Amino acid sequence: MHVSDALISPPVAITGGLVAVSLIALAANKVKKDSRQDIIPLMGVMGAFVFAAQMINFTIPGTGSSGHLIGGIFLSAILGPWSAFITLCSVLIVQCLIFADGGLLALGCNIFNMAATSCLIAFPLVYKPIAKHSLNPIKLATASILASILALEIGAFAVTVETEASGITALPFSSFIKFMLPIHLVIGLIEGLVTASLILFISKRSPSVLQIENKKSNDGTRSIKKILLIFGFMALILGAGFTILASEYPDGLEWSIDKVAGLTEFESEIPSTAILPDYNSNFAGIIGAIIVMVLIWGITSLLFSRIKHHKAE
Amino acid sequence: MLLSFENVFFSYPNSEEVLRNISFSINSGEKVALLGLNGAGKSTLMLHTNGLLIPSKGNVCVKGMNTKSKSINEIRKTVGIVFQDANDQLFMPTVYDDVAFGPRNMKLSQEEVERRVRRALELTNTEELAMRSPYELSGGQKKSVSIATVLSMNPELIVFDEPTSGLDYKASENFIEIVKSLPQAILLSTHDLELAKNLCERAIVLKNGKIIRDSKEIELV
Amino acid sequence: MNLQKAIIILQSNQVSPKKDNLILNLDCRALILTTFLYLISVLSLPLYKLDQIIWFAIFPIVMAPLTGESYSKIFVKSLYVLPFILLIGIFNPFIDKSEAFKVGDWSISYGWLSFFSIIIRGLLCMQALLILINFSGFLKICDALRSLRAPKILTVQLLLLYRYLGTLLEESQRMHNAIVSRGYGKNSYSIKLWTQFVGCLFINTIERSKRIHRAMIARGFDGEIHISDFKSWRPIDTFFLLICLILFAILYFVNISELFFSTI
Repeated sequence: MHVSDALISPPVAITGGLVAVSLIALAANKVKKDSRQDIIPLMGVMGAFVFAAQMINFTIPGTGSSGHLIGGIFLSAILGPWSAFITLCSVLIVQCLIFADGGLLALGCNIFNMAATSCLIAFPLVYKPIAKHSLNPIKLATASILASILALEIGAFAVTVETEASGITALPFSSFIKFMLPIHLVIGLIEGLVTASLILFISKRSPSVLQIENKKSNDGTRSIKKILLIFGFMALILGAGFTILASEYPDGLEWSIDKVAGLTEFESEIPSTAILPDYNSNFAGIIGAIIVMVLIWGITSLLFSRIKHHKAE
Repeated sequence: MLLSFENVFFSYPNSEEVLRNISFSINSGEKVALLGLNGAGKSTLMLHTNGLLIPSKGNVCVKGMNTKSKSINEIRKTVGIVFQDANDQLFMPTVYDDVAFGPRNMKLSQEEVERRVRRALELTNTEELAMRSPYELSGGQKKSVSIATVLSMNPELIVFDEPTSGLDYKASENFIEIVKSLPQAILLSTHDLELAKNLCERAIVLKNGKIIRDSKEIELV
Repeated sequence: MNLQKAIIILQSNQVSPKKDNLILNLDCRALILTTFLYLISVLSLPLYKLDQIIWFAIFPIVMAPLTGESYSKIFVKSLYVLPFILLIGIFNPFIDKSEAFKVGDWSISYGWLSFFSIIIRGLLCMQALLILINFSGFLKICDALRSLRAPKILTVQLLLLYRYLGTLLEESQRMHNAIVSRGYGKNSYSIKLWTQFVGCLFINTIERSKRIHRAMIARGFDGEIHISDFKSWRPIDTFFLLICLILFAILYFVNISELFFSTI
């Protein structure tokens, strides 16, 4: 579900970045007020834990294919939504900036699609109201499953909107969404089941851990109001972002709006001459560019081959 | 008197008593071994020395300051603990930051912090590791750096929890060398009787939460 | 990516590069800003300008050996991003069949043109990211984030995560080895076994966090973690940034292929 740099446009990426930065600033403020003394080392090692847990695959019964935990709902149940959000952001940042997993420009979008949807939307809106402070297995399981499904569906929808608004893919919105939503429903169900399984395991072995988050004074209703505020804020930024930048990037955006507005069919055609003016030197240009690049590659390899990494002893 | 335990009782919540009527004291410069089987209460006792745990009954005092009082920061400057697992003790991105952690929390000036860090690294022969990440160090190096993180706070008493467990022969030798050169009082909890004999002149033996022996003649123990 | 591979990547991230190289002595912020500018420039070019997009390869081709790794290695690593892009990009040639240009008798559709553009863009962006990672190591990136006024909670979180990632990965690897050794041929985890494994790992992690907190308090932790100061911006960093800015501007506004390779 990581959005790749290749499939989004700078306006969408920057908007996503602004949203992510605002949410992080908000979350940082919230976590500062957290009364738990040990929240800082806890978040640190929980981040490492989630990262490691994501690498351990389980076999999905009945299909033979494997899946892994994403962990947004789980982390929120342990740390609370704001701390969990920061923790998941740090995991996504590390995935990008150490393991090159997920685009750099798309990081903002990825943070929204994966961290915000689970910790800041699905958790307060679904998990918390159902699970409350109880250790009842049925409540915990239901809460986990429903919250995970919601988180993944919203995430899938967001990915579709971001990709389509970028205008890079020719895939029409309706087809893309028809493809994304059912798949992520299933993924959400599996994530929910696995999250539930883990939470139930912990509720038996070490229930106080689950109560950690609940010790905080009623942030349930307050969080929901905050979430709605955030939604409004984000909608404003997104709207503003697209409007302002639409005028600077007529090609991509007009084209995508064309698609979203006009389509029910699978096939489409772009308006030809308006977007391809005076373009007749293509093929030679492409080949020429490739040849020059290869030449530069050869020259620089020879020139700089002596520069190497070495371990600091 | 540097450290004193007066009739200390302790039990964890919803659990039976782990420490029963512990009374002893340690003076400046004294090297004391704390011996006992697993479950005897050694780790629990150690956590009382700097107020990480507070007695259910009785008092623990460091240079006259009670661990229940507000002087807890002063106490933690005086008593430094080197924990068993170095991974728990080294949590900063570089060795330098870890050793500077204590002095920085003490709000010392940058020059003073630098001075103390350099001195601590020197005392533990770990100067060249300053910019390394603790994660990539060997077990022995981690242990030496752990000691440095405590030394930079200029403690008067250093408490060691199973310091040589998991260390190979060479690393153990290195550890002994470092500790022998330190003037501070030490309280060393260990299973290793040879280590205790090597470093300490006094032994306190714990069994089922009680002190069964407090002897200056470590041979008898 | 599995545990073993992740551990190796993490360890290679901690290798410190040679310091006597001008490029490697640059402030990390300069390279981060440059990388962002590069990504924005590449991704702002319309898809039909494939011949212009290709010229942007100059940046990774030249930067890669300057940061100590050959471009071929970076290129091969960047191929990792292909499966994800192809999954979506492959639809373009089938949906968009309007003609872009002709090569002799063959008509090349816009779909295929945009498809290849997507691939090239993806590879170039990935290469720029790999070069950034190679250049700085994660700690320097965290320093740069701090200096760019990122919230302290986030930067401390990143440092702690980085510190304990290897520890947790290795612990997981050991547990995995222990399970597989007694698995009698069974190599995969059912959800039940997975829950036991990850649940155990979780509880160990909670215990570890308590111990770390204890060690922090024992050294006077008051809720604030203080980290070393970062170095200051130098003229060479501005120079590098300007050079790259000019280069990207030229590549973006000037179609070099059109200038030199036009045919009718």
